[in-house]
Amino acid sequence: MACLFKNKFIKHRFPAHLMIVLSSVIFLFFTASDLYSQESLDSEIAKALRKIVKCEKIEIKTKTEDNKSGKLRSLLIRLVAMPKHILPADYVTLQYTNPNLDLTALRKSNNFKIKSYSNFKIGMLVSEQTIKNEFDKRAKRLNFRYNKFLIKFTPPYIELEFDIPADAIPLKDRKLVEKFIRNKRLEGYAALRLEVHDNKIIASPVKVILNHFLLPMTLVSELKKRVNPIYHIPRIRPFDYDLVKVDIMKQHIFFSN
Amino acid sequence: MQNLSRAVEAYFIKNMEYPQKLELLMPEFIDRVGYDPLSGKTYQYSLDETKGTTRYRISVPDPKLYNAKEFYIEDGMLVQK
Repeated sequence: MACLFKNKFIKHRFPAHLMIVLSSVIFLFFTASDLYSQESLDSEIAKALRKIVKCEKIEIKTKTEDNKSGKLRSLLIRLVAMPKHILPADYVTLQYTNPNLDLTALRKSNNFKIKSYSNFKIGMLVSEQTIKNEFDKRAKRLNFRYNKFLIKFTPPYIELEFDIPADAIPLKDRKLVEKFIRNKRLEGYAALRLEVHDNKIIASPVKVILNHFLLPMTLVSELKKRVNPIYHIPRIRPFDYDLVKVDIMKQHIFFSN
Repeated sequence: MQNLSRAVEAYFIKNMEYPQKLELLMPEFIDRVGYDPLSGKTYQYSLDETKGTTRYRISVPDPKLYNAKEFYIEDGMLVQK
């Protein structure tokens, strides 16, 4: 029998070039199937997230540990243009290292759930233009009147130039700055730093000038107490995070955990 | 160096990848890359991919000027040895 096999092998030996072609085809097949499955996973995650996260665009990038196990090394999620009434962020990127995805929930019920991960980062970018648009919208909604209100990013500060009719400010706040009011107007300048604690944005005025008077720091501290927090950043479900860092950049505010 | 590091991270948030060179941060995130104040040379920037995650590193060109063997920021963490 062994002799027969040996003879057959010798007789019908595969030519070398055929072996190479065959192994290439097998290699390509496995590579393609792996690529397909990774792309398919990315789109499945995006599809599941689209059910709950309403934004213009969701992009997913996954990296697997090796071709066999399919275990994820990293998962990147980018949300572009969040709806303004929820969170006025231009870009939100979430980065999971070694995420353990609930694949059953993803594939059976199209639900995105991460069982565990070794590291998690989140960053949000809000552009200067988005902040200006948001301010205009809020001012209209609250019927806040002003003659001038300019917002400018000058890292590490946000600078404001304003001209506001005194009666546009609530009475209790107006009393605080009463002696600086001239011609029934509050015209001036403020330089602010931002802080973020527990997803709440705190504005810290470092310099306020009202009608050419530099406000004393005691008054500035009192103003800080009254106006803060200026914004509560809503959590984007299903993600869980606390934003603790904020930087004013040239054209953006950058929040991160 | 801290400002550059934050700008690199902000670039990542927008583009889902780190910049290939620091100059790509201009003009959107920074005005200019700037120089290391002690050596007057440009900062060194590198990307490294290990275990599926990409890390960036911004180093001073001459750490000896800071009495250190190594002085860099990697993934937002300042390291001085």
